[in-house]
Amino acid sequence: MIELRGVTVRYGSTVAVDNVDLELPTGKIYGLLGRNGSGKTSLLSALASYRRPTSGTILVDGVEAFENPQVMHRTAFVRDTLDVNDSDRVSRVLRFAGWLRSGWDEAYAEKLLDLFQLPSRKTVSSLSRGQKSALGVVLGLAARAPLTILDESYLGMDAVARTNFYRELLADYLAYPRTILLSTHLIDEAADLFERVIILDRGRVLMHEEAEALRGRGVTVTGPSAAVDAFVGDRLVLGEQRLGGVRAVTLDTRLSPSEQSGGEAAGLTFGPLSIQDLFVHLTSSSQEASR
Amino acid sequence: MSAGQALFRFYRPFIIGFSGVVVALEVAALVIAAVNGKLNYSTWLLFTGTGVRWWLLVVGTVLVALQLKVFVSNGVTRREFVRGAARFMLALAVGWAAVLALGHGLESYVMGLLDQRGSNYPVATASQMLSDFGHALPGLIAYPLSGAVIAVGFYRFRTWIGVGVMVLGAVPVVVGDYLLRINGNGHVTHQGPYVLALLGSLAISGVAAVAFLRLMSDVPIRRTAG
Repeated sequence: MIELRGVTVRYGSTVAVDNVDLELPTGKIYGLLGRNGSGKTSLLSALASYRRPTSGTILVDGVEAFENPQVMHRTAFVRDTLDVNDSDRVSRVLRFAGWLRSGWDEAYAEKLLDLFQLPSRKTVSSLSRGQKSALGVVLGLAARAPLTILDESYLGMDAVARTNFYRELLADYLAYPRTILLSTHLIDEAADLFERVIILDRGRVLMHEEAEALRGRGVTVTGPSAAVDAFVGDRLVLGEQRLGGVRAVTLDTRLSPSEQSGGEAAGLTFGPLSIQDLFVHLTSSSQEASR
Repeated sequence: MSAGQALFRFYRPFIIGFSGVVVALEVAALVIAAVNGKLNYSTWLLFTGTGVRWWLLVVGTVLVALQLKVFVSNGVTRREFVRGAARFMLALAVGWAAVLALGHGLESYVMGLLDQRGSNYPVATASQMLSDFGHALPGLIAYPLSGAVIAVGFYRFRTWIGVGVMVLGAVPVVVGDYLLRINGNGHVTHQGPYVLALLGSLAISGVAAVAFLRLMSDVPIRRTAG
């Protein structure tokens, strides 16, 4: 279990993470979502002991995480900027990881290099943005760390590389179960990977739920305006679109089978609400509420 | 592999390369000096002694500026890194102090064979070589330590605080040089009891080491521009 108790991270007068309490059961894939500046990287940095929280405690399996060899040896944190030296060759970066990481799988790292078509003789500085991200993915996955944290590891990757990344992440997670925290802005792309979702907003936890519960939480209703109006009633509408006489609304509700069949009989069609739609609604309505 | 072992393995090619450069320069310096008459000073003590000190200062700086983040991102704690770096720097200091003393002995022997020793050349007797070692070692400890303290000052704080730390971080080097520097003639530049000079230099280095440990204990790992 990973426990965050009253964790706050400040930079001078700026509060990046504000009194966060979280309990994260291990052995799951977490999606950490939040807008730019919501405190995702600061929270992950504190979790990975890259930065001591200004206040609060982080416990991993019951022991204090900061500077604890027991915890740090078993944690891999890959930031979008990569913590490697630009002048080093890719091969040297991986060799170094192999020296220091007890769980390092060299053969798997080689396989990932091939998959992402990363030239091992090139220096880090000569890699493209997407290749640097791919190197980060290699470092993160081949470490096989029980706590693997990937912070926006897809930056600059093309669609093929991202798809490969998601596939490999899932395949390796199934073969070597561990706790993976994935911070991303590409929510729709990565949403199928998440078992639990944490939404951060201005340094606070807005939501922490099972991904499955979120997927079933909302619904889109499309049909003739009058039929949609009648169906919506006093339900909470998250979003709305109109085209001619057709209206589509997004509702924050769970429909019973009878409600759904009644709606269908009235000419309405129903679709699931994506996690991204829910995220957009929650973070934008939270911003409006604070104004 | 421990942090110390990884550092030795990582720096092995640099150590070999630097040693090669030092030997090549010594041979060149000896040839040039011999062509111009008999040698009245030790080029090894003068040039290599100075070169090694500054090289170790750079190593101390690079350890913090470039290696810290790589170690922490590979699951090494700051304390483990500092412990490994301390072993590494101490081993380098002892090794180079021995190389300086033995190199002086070899240079003295070769110059003697070639009859190129001038009247003021510091002939490397056993006691002279022991003195070379004893006077070089504290300085070779102080230089990388100063480099590391200066680097962590800039890494951890804003520029102006870093400048302040730099001034304080340079104290072990300044004190060590003042108390124990040995010149090309094999003479100690500061007159005074060796033991007091040694203790003074080590005490200042000890204070710097404690400050370094304190500054490193919870230093945030900075993001680099990506």
